[in-house]
Formats: sequence, structure tokens, C-alpha cells
Amino acid sequence: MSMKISAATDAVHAQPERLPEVGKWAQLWIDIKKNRVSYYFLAPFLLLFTLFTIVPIITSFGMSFTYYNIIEKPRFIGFSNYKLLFVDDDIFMKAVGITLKFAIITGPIGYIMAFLLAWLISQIPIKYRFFYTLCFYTPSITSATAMSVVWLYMFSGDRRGMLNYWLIELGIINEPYLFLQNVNSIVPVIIFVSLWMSMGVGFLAFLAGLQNVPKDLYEAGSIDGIKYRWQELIYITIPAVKPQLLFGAVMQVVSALQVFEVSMQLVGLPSPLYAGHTIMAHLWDYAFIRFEMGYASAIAVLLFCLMLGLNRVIFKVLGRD
Amino acid sequence: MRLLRKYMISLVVLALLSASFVWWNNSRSFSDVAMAGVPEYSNIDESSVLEKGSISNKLEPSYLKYYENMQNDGVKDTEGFQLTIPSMNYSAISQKGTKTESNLGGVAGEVIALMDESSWAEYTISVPQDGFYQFGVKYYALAGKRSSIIRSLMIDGAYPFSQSKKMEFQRMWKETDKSWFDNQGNEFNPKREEVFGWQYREFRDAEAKAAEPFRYYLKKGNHTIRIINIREPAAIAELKVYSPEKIPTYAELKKEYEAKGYKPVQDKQIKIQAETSTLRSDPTLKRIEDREPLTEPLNPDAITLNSFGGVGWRNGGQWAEWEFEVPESGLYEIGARYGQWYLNGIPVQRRVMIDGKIPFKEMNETKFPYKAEWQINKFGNEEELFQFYLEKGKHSIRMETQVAGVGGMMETIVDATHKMSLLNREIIQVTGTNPDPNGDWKLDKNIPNLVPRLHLMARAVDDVIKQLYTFGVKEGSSDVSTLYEARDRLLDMAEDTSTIPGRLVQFTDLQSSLGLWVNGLAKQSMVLDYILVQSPDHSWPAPAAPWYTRLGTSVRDLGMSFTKDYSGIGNVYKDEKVLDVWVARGRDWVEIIKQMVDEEFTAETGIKVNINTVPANQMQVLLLANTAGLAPDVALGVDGEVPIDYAVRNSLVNLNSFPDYKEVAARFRPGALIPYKYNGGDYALPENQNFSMLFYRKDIMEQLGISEDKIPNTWQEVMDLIPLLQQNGMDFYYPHAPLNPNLAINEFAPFLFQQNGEFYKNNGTRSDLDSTKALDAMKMWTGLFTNYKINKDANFYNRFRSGEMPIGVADYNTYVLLSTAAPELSGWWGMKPMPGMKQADGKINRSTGGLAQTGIIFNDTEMKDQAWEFLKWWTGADAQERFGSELESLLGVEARWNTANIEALKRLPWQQSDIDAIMEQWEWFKEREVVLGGYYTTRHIANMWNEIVLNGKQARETVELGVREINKELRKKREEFGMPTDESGGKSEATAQGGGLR
Repeated sequence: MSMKISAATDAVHAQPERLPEVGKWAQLWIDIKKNRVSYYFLAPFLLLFTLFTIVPIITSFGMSFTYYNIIEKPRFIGFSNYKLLFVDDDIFMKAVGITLKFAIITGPIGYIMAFLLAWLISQIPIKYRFFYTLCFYTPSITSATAMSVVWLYMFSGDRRGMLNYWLIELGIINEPYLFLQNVNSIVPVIIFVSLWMSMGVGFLAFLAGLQNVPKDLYEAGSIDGIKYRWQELIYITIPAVKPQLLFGAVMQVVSALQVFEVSMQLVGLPSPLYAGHTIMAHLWDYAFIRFEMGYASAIAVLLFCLMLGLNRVIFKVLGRD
Repeated sequence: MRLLRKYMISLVVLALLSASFVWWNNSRSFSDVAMAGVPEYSNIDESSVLEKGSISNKLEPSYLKYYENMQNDGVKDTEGFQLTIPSMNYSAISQKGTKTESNLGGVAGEVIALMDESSWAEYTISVPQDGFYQFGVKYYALAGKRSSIIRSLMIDGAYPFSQSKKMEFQRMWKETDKSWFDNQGNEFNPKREEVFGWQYREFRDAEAKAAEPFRYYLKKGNHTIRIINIREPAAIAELKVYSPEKIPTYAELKKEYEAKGYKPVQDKQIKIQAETSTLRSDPTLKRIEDREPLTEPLNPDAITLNSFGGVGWRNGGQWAEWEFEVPESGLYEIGARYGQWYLNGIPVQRRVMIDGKIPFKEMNETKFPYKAEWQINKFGNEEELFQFYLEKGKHSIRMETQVAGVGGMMETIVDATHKMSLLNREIIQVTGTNPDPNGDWKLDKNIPNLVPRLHLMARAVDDVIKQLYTFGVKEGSSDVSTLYEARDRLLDMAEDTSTIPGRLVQFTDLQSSLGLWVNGLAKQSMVLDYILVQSPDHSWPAPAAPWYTRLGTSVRDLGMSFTKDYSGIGNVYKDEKVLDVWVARGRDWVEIIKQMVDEEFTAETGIKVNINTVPANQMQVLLLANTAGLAPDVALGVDGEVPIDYAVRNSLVNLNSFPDYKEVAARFRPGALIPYKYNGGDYALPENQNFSMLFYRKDIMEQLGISEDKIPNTWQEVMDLIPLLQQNGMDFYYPHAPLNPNLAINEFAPFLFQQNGEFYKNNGTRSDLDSTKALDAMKMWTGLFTNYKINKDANFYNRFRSGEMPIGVADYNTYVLLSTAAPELSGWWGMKPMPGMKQADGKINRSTGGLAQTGIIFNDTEMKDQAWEFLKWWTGADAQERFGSELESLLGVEARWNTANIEALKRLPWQQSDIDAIMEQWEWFKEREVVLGGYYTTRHIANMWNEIVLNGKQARETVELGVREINKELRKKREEFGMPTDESGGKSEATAQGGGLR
């Protein structure tokens, strides 16, 4: 899911850049014919991508201007979904706030952590590297449902819940604290669990990038007077893995904005007092609890724009050369 | 050398790993000499100080114990006495519930029939000497609820042992027709039908734990014997009292045969396919499929029902009978090809009867040993195969489940767990429920005979292990490891009693694992392929196909799976007018439904039905299918809150447009239909129904000085009880599901309804939660958590077992869990209707709901009437009852079907006291309305709880805020669907109320 949308953002903004260069459609057609072998290779992906990513995005954009309750035919209602969303929906605003709060904390921390861990692992002899990689990567591919079994027990509000049990045992609290129901602890818990799960594709990309930094760069560096690993990291490694850093950042932002599954599994949907209500949760609420697909589409479009915008920012910051 | 250095670390790690594996593997097996160091005790007072108040003390002893005690007192079998009393010669009879039948089943004359529960008949008998006597009865099962007949026998006004309270007398069932095939070539069981007729049965253990009929000790002289109806009507022709029957052993019989000059026959073989059984005790005993290549007959391309029994043939007393024709008089050998892979390593037993009689003693307990593949059991002993004398002509052979071989062991273990349970509570009395594991509680001083008692329990368990080995269990069978584990744990505790407080949880788990072991052992399943009756010179067939043949069949099956369509179940019709039914349940459930449909519904009405499964709890699938125009005609297993969503979108059929809706609706509690009403229509029929009840531990409540009739009936009494519980380190449980805010409303509803409050007013246009009643209810509900500080989050099932929460409100799931997974508590817990509130008229209002699953009909259907016909059939008492019993026989009590059909629930073989309690609760069954936008009420009630209990807000303020939000959403949703809103004028309100739309 996250892959697709990020790829979509790439494609969407990559196209307008390429078009003006080509100029005339005829020229384009000639070029295509000339390079048709390349297009043959591209075709399978392009076809699937269009069918399963571009078309849904456009449909959902169109649907956001309608009233659609799944069973009856969609009815065009202009901008009222958006009007409602911005003016009247307090909970949406709350959801945006929570999502951003969440993204601002998990985004950078997860990103830095993924990079540092990848770097640390790449320092280990290659024989044992696989084991550590597996350890860090596994949580991110585990489904939220499966891992919630563990975390629900950890944070259970039962006296016998792991955390509560030890806190009581150590005399820090006297009666169990409902971590998953108390508004103050819901977001921190979700952030904590998400961080644990965040060593995903970005982390693997870092690892691959770090392994492919040419050895001679380091040798040249040491001749030029690098003394410490830190210097090596900052002056050689980071510039060398810039493409991976960019990719990782995009993935991180996308996944941070899409956090939902963890929240639903840990604190339920809707969460107590909407304390863990992210944009995605709001979308789900409207789409599959209230069956207001038009409104849900509007939310999806906004979320899409938000990601697009943030990704532009990332490209501005990281992708300068 | 360099190599060695290079792989040094790897080698060391490898060596360590293998060493630890060897160590682990060795320590895995259990020591058989662990008991050596344990002293033998005599004259240790094992009784607990709690025993006097305990339930088990008030019960009669079990039969095995009774028999043992009597034998120790020197009581002997009597001899030569036989008395037959016609049933009309009663000395007294209950005033109600009996009937006189005449010329029943072709037998002339009048007989007495006990029709209703607890009706009875009394007989006076006189016996010539002190000693044991056996009883038997000739009975005729009358049409009833299809379950077996249960009677109890009182002698001189008392039950001599507990099993005498519940003796089972089976009905007889046969297949009405040949088995039939669906259009894919798959075979299906024919319908089973009851056969009425006279049967004779001794009074014996319903669970077949005693090998022979009960021996009652009677003193010389007159005795009154009372037979009481516990379940199901039946007529009695005569009662027999006689000196215990002596069945000859095979050796004795052989001599007799030799004396009579019987000769073995030559070259004869009669093969009886087990699936052709002519008579069986239970409709759930039926043909099953087996795909082993040698099982006869086998059709590799489709399902063939080629064997008999299986998992369902497991309870003591269940029997099946086969008929066969003998071509020539003489001596035959008998054997059977069977599979017994159900009890790991432990043989099962059957009572084998020929022509209704046990031919010789050995056949009373015929062993069928365990093996993971098919075997042939040639009836015989170590030295020779048994020879049976059969006259030329028709004969019958009957096999009845016998549990006697392990019955005694089961009883020893149950006894030990009871002692453990008492000891457990004594320990808790000293340490409290949450003891500091590091504290020194001096348990061995505070509890009399602690160490000897633990040792004796361990010895009891160890004795059972030894008995199992002599019974024929292979050493190292995984089924014995539970016992080893328990024994070692007990010895461990005895070794160092100071560790016990830290291991209380272990101690409870130990009891339940022993209990589960006993429950597992009671299920003596076996599958039969054929029975062989053949002349001794005839050779026996191979029991199981070699592995390569089996592999071949498996590969073939795998290959078939690519071409065969498995998505539909049973008869799959194409290009015909077919009713499409989607069921949101597991495949096992759906297969039973389909089978019932094919056998009953389609057969009776001619309406063809295709059934497909959809994943449970994913109702958006249905909605999406509806959008795509692929919606089925009928959907079953639909969650209770869903129908209204479809109804407002105009995609469901209004069921009360059918003329006979009223009759159908009468099958359910009126309160159960409320959620499916919308705008004057009724859009769904409930299939099952949840219930919340009050569960309590009898033993602990008694210990706290709360007798059975003092168990709280009202919330006030609950609140009075809570401080007492908390003083003793215990707590009351009221559910609060932390992860599912949608359940909060169900937790709140009882408080509201019991005050006669409502969720909505003005025909669902406004929330009524700001009324005084609702506010009181809210305060009461949250008050449990704030003022009384009961646990907000707990696993009730575990706490109930450990005794930390001896009383609490819970639902159907807990009921099933406690009945199946807490065997150590069986008989020690009770279930009562939910606490309520006293009304002005003095009655206690116990209203509560229980939303479960429903069936709906989609508007797009072209077969509206057929769909209605189907729904009527499915929710009917017969179908529901059959489904319930088939499900339970297939999946066990875990899958107990909580049908919403009142009649069917009464007929299902649940415990009568449970049904009574549920029925009493259902008197007050009231489900909340589901209205447009109702999900907002659901989530705001969860939020209110959160605000009041966790954030300490004022109840009134919170409720008012929530109500404002709810009203907003209600209005929005109603506007969306063009329904009159509250603001659109008082008029619609008036008409709504005047018109009685609600």
C-alpha cells in the first residue's frame, strides 16, 4: 500500500517535468517508436500501475465530489464534502493534529534510528549481519494483528499485564494504569510500537546502500586524514548513500502519515475519546462504518495531497543535486 | 591446524548446542522411580478443614467408591434371586405427568409412562437376603426431544450413589433411505429416523465407567424403589430385580462348546461394511469419509462415506448395531478393521454383544489399541482367537462404548483434583489471593498435614500412571506426560513448601490440566471400516495399505484439487433457478447447514440452494457484493448491527410484508426483534442470541458465608457484597472490553433498561441519554468502577478459576469456556440471571440484551418467497435443534449453538438448570434499538465511560456533551436519507407516537 502511493507520487510529479522537454506529441510518438524495446520492458509495470494505482486515484478524486453510500448511485454534490471537512468536522482537524504530531515524532526518530542501526549493522562482520538484519526487519513485516498480541499483553490494563505488574511490583503505581484507554498514554504507546516496527524498506535500502559504498573512497579518505569513524560517516558514507536516504525519507513520511493498523489493533476504532484517531482511521470510519464513500474519498484526496506536499519538501531538502 | 582455528568458535557452539540438546532430551522423559523416596502413609487425615462446607461432601459418593466401600464391609453378590414386576403394579405414583398406555408397540396390556420431568412411580419389593442386586427395565421411548432418556432410581428415599441420579436409556435410530449423492458424485448421509420399540437395559453407568450394571446393596426385607423422570418421556413395561448376573469366561464357554461338539466351519467369510449399520443409539452416529486406499469402498474422485463412527462415537453408552446372515451353523472367528488414532497411546473399549447378549466375559470390555493407522482387531486373547458359535440364519452384532478400563483411573484423578482444589483454598485462606512470593508463610505449620497430603496426591497420580501401563499404554505416550508433570510438580511443592505461595497459579493450572486430561480420556472415539465374521481357516486381510500406496492416493488427491471446484458446498447447481445463500461462518458450520438443506429443505420444498462461505465479521464484503450486483438472495451469520445499514439503503426485504411473519416472529423473544425494526418494517430474523448472566463460585461464596439463596439479585446487593469481597482480597467482575469500544453500550444497556430508560426518544430522532433515568444509570455503571473500584480490566475466566473473582457478570463465551476448559470447577460454579433493580411492583427488573447473528433477505432477489421459505425453515425449531446437536457432536461443547429459537433451545441437550437460568434471563430479554446514526451512541457511551472513570469528569456534564454530539449525528444521518428529523416539526413526532411506529 505504502509502496504504491509513494510510487504514485513519483510518477505524478515526474510526468509534468518530462512533458515540456518533449514538446510536440508527434515527436514523442516518434521517440516511442524508436525506443519501443524499452517501452516493451516498461509495459507490464506501467499497465498494472495505471490499472491499480492511477485509475483508483482518479476515481477517488472524482468520487470526492459526490455523495455515495455504496448501494445507491453516486450523486454529484460539488465541493460540499470539502466544505464539511474543513469547516464542520472537528474530529478531522483533531485527526490531522494527531497524525502530524505522530509523523513529526516518529518520522525523524524512525528515520535516524533506521540509518544508525543500518550503519551499525554494516560494521559487523558479514557472517552475522544477516541475523541482525532479520531481527530488526522482522517486526516491520509482521502484521499489526499478530504483533498486537504481544503488545496488548505488555500494555494490558489488567493487574496481570506485563507493564502494570512490574510497575505495581516496584511500587511505582498502586492500581493498574489503563495504558490503552487513557487519553494521555494512547499516542505515546502507538508511537512506541510504531518505532519498533519502523525498520522497514527504508532500513533495508540503507543497508544495501551502505554495503555498496566503494572501499577506495574510504582508503582515499584515510590518506586525506580521516581519523575517526564519525568523520568517515559524515564525509564519505552519508554523501555516498544519498539516493537511499531520499528513498528512505519518502517511505518514512508515507508510512508515518498512514499509521492506522497499529492504532486500530491496540486501542480500537474509534479509539477512546478519539485519542488515537489518525487521518487513516477517520477515513476508515467514514468509509466502512458510516458508508459515506464520497466523504471518505475527500479525506483520501487530502491525505494524498499532504503526502505529495511533504515529499516535495523532502526532495527539496535531500535531492538537490 | 589452521582449519581448526578458523572453525573454533563454530565448533564450540555446535558442541554446546548438541550437549544441551542431549541434556534436554534426557531431562524430558520422566523418572519412574520418583516416588521411591516418598514415605508410605497410613492413617493420615487427608480431609480438609473446608470439607464440611464443601459441595462434594453433600453429594453422594460415586458408584466405584460405593462399591468398594460395600465390598470392604463384606457385602457379597446374592445368588439365584429374580423378580419381575409389571409396571402397573406400582405402590404409588406422582399425581402429575404420568400416563397409562395400552397395547404399546404390539405388546398387549397396560403400561405406565413417565411423561413429564420429575414425574415418578414407586414400587415395593421384598428381597430374601442381604447383598448386591442388579436392576433392569424394559422400556419404550416415546416421542420427545430426540435426546436419550434419563431416569434416576431412589431406594428407600435416597440415592445410594451419585450415578443413580442419572442413568441413560438410549433411543433407537435408523437410516430411512439409502445414502444419496450430490451432482458432483459426493455421497451424503441419509436422514436418520427414530425407531420406536421395546428395549431392555440394565441400570448402568451413563458414562460407562463401570463395566457391569450397578450393584445396589439391599438388606433383607421390603424396599421402596422410585423411578424418576429426569428427561424425556418413556413407558416402562416391567422392572427386573435380580442377583448379579454371572457371565461365563471364554474358557468356560469353550468347554461347553467342546462338550456340545461344535465344530469350526470351513472356508466362509462374511464381511459387514460398518457404514451399513442398521440401528444406532444416536442420530449423530453416521457414515463418515476415509481416504485410506484400503478402506472399502473407495471412490477416488469424490467423497465416499465408507466408514462409520469417528469422532462422534465417543461417549459411554453410545451403540451401533449391524445385521448379518450366517450361512452355516458352527464356530466362527470375529474381527473388525478399525482406526483408533484419537487417544494417543491409550486403547479404547467397546462392549460387543451378539444377538443382544454378551457371549462371554472378555467381550464386555473388548480393547481396541491405539495406532496411527488402520488396524484389524481379531477378537481374542494372547493365546488364541476367540471362536463364536453362530446358528445358521440372521444375527446381529452390537458395539457399545465402554469406558470401564479407564473409569477407575479417571475417578482417582478427579478425586485428586478435588483434594487439590480444597488445599488450594486453604492456602489462599492463609496467604490471600495475591501473596508476596518472598514472604515466609509457614504453610506447613498453618495447614495440617500439608506435606503428607501433597505426597498422597502425588502417589494417587503415580498409581494411575502404573495402571495405565498395565492397561496397555506404551511408555512415553504423550498422554501420560500430563500425569507425570502433575506428579513431579506435587512432589516439588512438598519438598519445599515455602515456594507454594509463588506457585498458586501453577497449582490452579495443574488442576485444570488434570481435568482436561480426564475429559479427553472420556472421549473414546473409534472409526470402523468393516466387521469380519469368518471361518478359522480363512486368512485375514491386510489392515493398512503400505506407505507408497497411501502416498499415491495423496498425490492423486492433490492433483484433483486443481481441477475440482471446492468453493460451493454439497450440491452445486449451475444455470438453474437456485437460491444463493451466503453464510459468514466457518466451513464446518456451513457444511452442516448445506447438508441439512440438501437433506431436508430441498427434499421437502424442491427449492435448490447454493451455499457459499464468506469470512465472518467482514460485512463490508456483502455491501460491496451488493454494489457489484452479485449479492446473494439470503445471508446468514450477519452481525446484529448490520441489517439496519442495509435497510436504510433500501436493499433488504421487509419481512413483515410476508403474511405469516407474526407466527415466525413468535419463535423468538419479542425483545430480540427490536434491533431489526426500522421505519415500521422488520428486516432480519435472529439466528442465535447472546446472554449475560451472573456466574459465581459456589465453594468460595459459601466460604464467605453467602449461601446459594443469598447470591445477589439486585445491584444494591452486589454493591453490598463488593466490600466483603475486597476485604478478602477478591473482587467482583463487571465486563469492560478495553479494545472494543463498540461493546461499551452493551455493558451500559442493562443499567438503563432496568430503570426503564431508553436510548432514544421521538422515534429515534433524539438521544434520550440526558434523561434522569439515563443519568442515574450512567452514574451507577461508572460508580462500580469509581466508587467501588472494581477492576477495570481483567480476564474473568482466569480470575474466576483462581478464585480471585469468585463472582461476576459474563456472557455466553464465558459459559462455554467454563463448561469446556475449566473441568476442575465442574459442579462448583453456578449461573444465575443477571442482577437487576427492584421495580415498584416488587419484581426485579433484570433486562439486558444480547445481540448476536441474524439472517437477512436482499431486495434484489428474484426468489423472494423461496428465500422467505428458506429463512423460515432455518430459524425453525427443528432445523435449529438439529443444527445445534450436529454441531456439538462434530465440534464438541466448544461449539455449543446458542440458538435464538426458544423452543429449540429448550430441546437442545444442555443442562436443565442452565436452560432454566437462561430462560429466566430471557424473560427479561430486551435489546436496544438500532437507529440511523446509532453508531454515534455506541462510541459516545464508550467515551463517557472514559471521561468519567479515567479523567474524573462530572457525569452530568459529560453526558450532556455527548448527547449534543449524538443528536447532531442523528439529525445529519436522517437528513441524508430524507427522514423526518426532530426539527422538522412536532407533527411527525405526534404521528409517530400516535401511529405506534415504534
